Amino acid sequence: MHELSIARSLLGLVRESVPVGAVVRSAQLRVGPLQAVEPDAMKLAWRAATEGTVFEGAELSLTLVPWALCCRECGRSWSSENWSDPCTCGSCRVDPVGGDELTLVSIEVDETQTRLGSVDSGRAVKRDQASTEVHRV
Amino acid sequence: MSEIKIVQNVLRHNDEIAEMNRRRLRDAGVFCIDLIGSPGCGKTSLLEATLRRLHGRINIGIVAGDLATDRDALRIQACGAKVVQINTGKGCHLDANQVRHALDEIDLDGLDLLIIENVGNLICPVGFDLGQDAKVGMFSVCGGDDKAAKHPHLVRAADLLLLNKIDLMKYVRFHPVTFREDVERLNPDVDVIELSVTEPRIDRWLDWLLNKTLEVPARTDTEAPEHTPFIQGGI
Repeated sequence: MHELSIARSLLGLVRESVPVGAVVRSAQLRVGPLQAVEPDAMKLAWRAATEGTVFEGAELSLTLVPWALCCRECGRSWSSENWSDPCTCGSCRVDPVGGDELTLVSIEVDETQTRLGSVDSGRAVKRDQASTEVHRV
Repeated sequence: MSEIKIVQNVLRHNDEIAEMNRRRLRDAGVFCIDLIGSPGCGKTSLLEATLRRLHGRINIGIVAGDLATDRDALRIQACGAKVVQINTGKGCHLDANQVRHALDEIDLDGLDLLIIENVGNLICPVGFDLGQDAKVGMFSVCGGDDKAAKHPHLVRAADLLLLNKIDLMKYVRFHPVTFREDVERLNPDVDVIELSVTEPRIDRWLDWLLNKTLEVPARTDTEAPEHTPFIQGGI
């Protein structure tokens, strides 16, 4: 259940990135296969980590990145759910490439509301201007 | 509703502390490994045998991670090593911050090698950098020949793989070729050392460990220990 450690780290990163007074609606996480993250366990861990904070109720959106594979014989590259897939050329000499991604891609926030009375409202005040960029959607 | 782009590694803080640990160990001239394997694969027994064989040749410290009890630490201490126990409670892996605190309790200047015995688990510890120089994955033949294929993240991340309990191979279903083919596909560069801790047949492991330890630039105020290979003619 390393998902709980990941969820706590993720919460710290979200906390650093959220604008003052904004309410986080969702966080988008990209996960490579080498992280061995189980989606249901990850979502459960996120709920546990955010419980009782201003981030409680924020949705966690997971994008599971498949294996990137490259054939040693013909050089073909493709992606697959299974690292042991043979190549279409018939070769089983296939190398997995990368796969260790664990990235908080973005968060969605509602900047018009603040949650009053939350036990954690005082903590979500730091904003790292250098590392954030706001896009209207 | 606004979208804020972030694009940052979630384990950034862990990785930053791990880098601090790594610098601290390098400054002290200590080679550090993170030993990862399932419960019962023989990690603590390997450490006991290693400490006995290398006694008087290099100075070894151990950080023992476990959910509960200090039984591993007591076993290792009985071999004369400096040991710090980390009980993680319900935590299924060590992280860099726990190791940072453990380093505070060790006289690093008196060490050549630090082995971190991670919590018995083939999955959770893999993604957490502790500041080690090498990650060593440990399997045993009793676990079956499919364990490399089922734990590709450990095989991919490992700098060395150990296959323990080879003396029991005749009693269990384990096809070495299947295991080695899976390893070779996942991580063509990684070496696999077969060993038996109980016999003990661990000379290749000891030579790997000594060679790696002696590659680390020694502190200027100390003399580097000499290494006579356990296996004559090299490994």
